[in-house]
Amino acid sequence: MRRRSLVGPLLLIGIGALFLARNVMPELPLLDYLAQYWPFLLILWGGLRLLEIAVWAAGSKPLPAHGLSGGEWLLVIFLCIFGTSLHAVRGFSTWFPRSGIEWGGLEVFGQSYDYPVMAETAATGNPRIVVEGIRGRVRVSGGDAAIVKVSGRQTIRAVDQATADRSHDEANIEVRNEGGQIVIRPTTLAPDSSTTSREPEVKGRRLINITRRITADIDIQLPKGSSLVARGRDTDLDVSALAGSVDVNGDNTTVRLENIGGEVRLDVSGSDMVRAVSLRSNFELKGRGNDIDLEKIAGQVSVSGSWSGLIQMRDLAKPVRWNGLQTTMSFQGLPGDLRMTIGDISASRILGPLRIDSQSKDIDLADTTGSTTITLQRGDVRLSSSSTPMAEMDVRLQSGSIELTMPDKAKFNLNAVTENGNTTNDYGGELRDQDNGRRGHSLTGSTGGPTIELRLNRGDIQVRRGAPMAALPNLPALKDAPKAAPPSAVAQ
Amino acid sequence: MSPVNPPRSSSLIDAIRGPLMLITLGALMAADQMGNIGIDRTWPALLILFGLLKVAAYLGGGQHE
Repeated sequence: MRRRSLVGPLLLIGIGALFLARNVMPELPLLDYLAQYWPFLLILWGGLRLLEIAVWAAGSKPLPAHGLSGGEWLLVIFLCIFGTSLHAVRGFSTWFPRSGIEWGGLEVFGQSYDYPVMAETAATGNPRIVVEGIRGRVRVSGGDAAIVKVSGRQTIRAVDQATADRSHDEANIEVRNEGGQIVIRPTTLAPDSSTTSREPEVKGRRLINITRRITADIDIQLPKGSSLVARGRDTDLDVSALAGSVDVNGDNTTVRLENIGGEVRLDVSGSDMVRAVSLRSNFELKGRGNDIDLEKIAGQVSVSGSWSGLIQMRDLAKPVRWNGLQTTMSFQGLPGDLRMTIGDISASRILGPLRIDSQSKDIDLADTTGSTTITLQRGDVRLSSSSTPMAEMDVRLQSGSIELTMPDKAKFNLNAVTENGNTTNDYGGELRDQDNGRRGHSLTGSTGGPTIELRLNRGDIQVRRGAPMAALPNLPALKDAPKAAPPSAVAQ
Repeated sequence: MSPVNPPRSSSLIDAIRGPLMLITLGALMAADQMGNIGIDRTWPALLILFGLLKVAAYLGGGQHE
C-alpha cells in the first residue's frame, strides 16, 4: 500500500490561505512577512514530516525509506531561491549582495523618498578628508573657505515612508572630525554607531544592506589644500581643484579627476571610466574596468590591471608604464596622443625609448622620437616617421605585417627580414630587396644612420618613402604614399 | 505530497534524516536572515549533521541486522 504524506495537502492549504488573506486584506504586507519569515516554512515543513514519522513509528506502521523525496528536495531548493531573492529584493538581505549580484533592475519595488543632506564643519590647514561608503554621485571640489561642507540629497527606496525614515536615520550622511581627519559617511558606518553590531563583519553586511537602497547625489566642498581618501562602492566620483593627494579605493566606481596637485592613487574594480585631467603629480591606477582617459599629467603615470574599453592618453610629461593583462608598454613621455583598445594601439609623437610587448595588437605609431622596441605575437604594425633623424627600431613579430614609412633623405641602417612572406621596397634605390628562397625575403640598406631591425616570422614587410618632412603633423605620410598597398600574398 | 516508498528495510533514522536536514536548513536560513550569522559561514553544519545521521544509521543498521 502506498501512503501519502500529510505535508503536501497542508502546504496547499497554507498557500491557499495566504492568497485568500491577500485577497481579503490587501493592505497586509504579506510579501514582507514572507520575505522575512520564509525560513520558518522550512522548519515547519521538516517538523511536520518528523511528527508524521513519529506517529507512524509509534503505530508500528511501515516507515518510508527516505523522510523527504527527491521531488520535495527540489521544492525546498526552489523555496530557498525564491525566499532569498524575495529577501534581497525587499531589502532585508545580508548575504546576497556580497556575491556581487546586482539587483538594480529589481529595485523597482517600492518608491523613492528624497531627503536633503546638509552638513558642515570647520577645517583648518590642509586637512585629510575621508569619504566612505557613499553610493551614488559625489562631487568634491576645493575652494577658498576653511570649511568642509556637504550638500545635496539622498534618495531612499522603500516600501513606505516609515521604512524610508528608519533607513534615513541609520544612513544619514554626517561630517565628523575624528583624530585629525574629517570623515564624511553614513551614520551607520561610524565606529561607535549604536545601530550596528559590534562584530565588524555583521556591521559591514548591515551597511551594505542599508546603503544598497540608498543613493546619494551630493556636493562636497573642501579647503583646496585638502587631501582626499574615498572608499566605497557604486560611486560616481568627481574631484576637482584640490592641491593635496587623492586616494580612491572602490568597487564599481567611476572616477573623474581634474586639476589635482598631489599624488593620485586609484584602486578600483568594475570601473566604467577613469578620467584624469590636469594632474600636477604622479598618477597610479590599479584594477579592472573599461575606459581610461588621461590628459595633461605632469607626473609619472602607472596603470596596471585589466582595462577593456577605450584608453586615451594625451600630453603626458613624465614616463608612462602600462602593465595590462595582454600588453606591457612603457615610454618616457607623450607630447602627442595615444589611443588603445583591446585590439589596437595608435599613437603619435611618443617620446621614447618606447617598449611595447603584447600578444595580439595592431599597432600604428607616428613620429616616435627615441628608440622603439616592439615584441608582438600577432598584428599589423605600421610605423611612420615624417621627420629626420630616424631613431633605432627593433620590431619582432610572429605573424602579421610590418609597414615602415621613412622620410626622404632619412639616415638609417635597415635590416628587414620576413621568413615566410614578401618584402616590398617602395622607398627606392637605397634598399636592396633580396629573395632568400625558402628562407623568405629580406630588405636591407644603409645610409649611415641608426639600426632599424624588422623581423617577421610570417607575413609581409613593406618600406615606403613618406612625403618630405614639411609640416605634416600625424600620419598623412601614409595616405599620401604613391602606391596602394599590394595584396598580401603570403608564401606559406 | 510524494508517495512513500514501501517499507522494506527502512530504518527510523533513514526516515527522519530528510526532515531533520530540512529543519536545520530552515534554522540556518532563519539565522542568516535575522542578520546574525550568515549561511555562508554556517553551511558546513549541514554536512556534519548529514554525516552524523549516516553514522547513526550505520550503527543502528549494524545492530538490527
